[in-house]
Amino acid sequence: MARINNRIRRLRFDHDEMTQEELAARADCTRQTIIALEQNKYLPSIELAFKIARVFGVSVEDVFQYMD
Amino acid sequence: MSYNTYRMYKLVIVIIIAVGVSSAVAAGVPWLPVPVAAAGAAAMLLVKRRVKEIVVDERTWRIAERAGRLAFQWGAILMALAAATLLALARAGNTSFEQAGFILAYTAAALVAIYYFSYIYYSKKLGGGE
Repeated sequence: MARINNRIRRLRFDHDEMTQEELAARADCTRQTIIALEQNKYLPSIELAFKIARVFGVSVEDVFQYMD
Repeated sequence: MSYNTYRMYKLVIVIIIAVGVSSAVAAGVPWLPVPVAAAGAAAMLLVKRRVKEIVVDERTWRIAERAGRLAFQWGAILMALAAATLLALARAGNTSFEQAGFILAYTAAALVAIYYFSYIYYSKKLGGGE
């Protein structure tokens, strides 16, 4: 079954130890959504995926990986 | 105001609305629930405006959609079953259940109809040609 992993937690720490609250505010979502994403319990919409990637200044594929 | 404080206020407001509406119904004052619910909704809006963080996003909506769908599925099924049971009991001789049975049956049918027309509406809105 296909899965999508993400590196959000790693990227947060690499960007001056950004907090979940900061990332949520900059990506226009709730902190609970960031928590759910980092726990791989929630798949974001394309729009939110792009917003998160833009916060980190990387491409979407650098944040989210599709695993067959 | 933090998100946790907002959740606490939300719970308090919901409890006040519930107590107000149920008290009004128990006291036989049928017009009171409307202003109570309206005041509660206004209070919720005021409280929500004071929260620093975002409280509703796509995940919140997705959870609400799934919960609503599950509530509809189970609600309609249970209502239909209850209606059938009450009407069967009414036919068996206990006529006091007949009115309740019909009310439940028509309510279940109305729910299914609302779901059907909502589905058509959103199906057209989101494209796909269905």
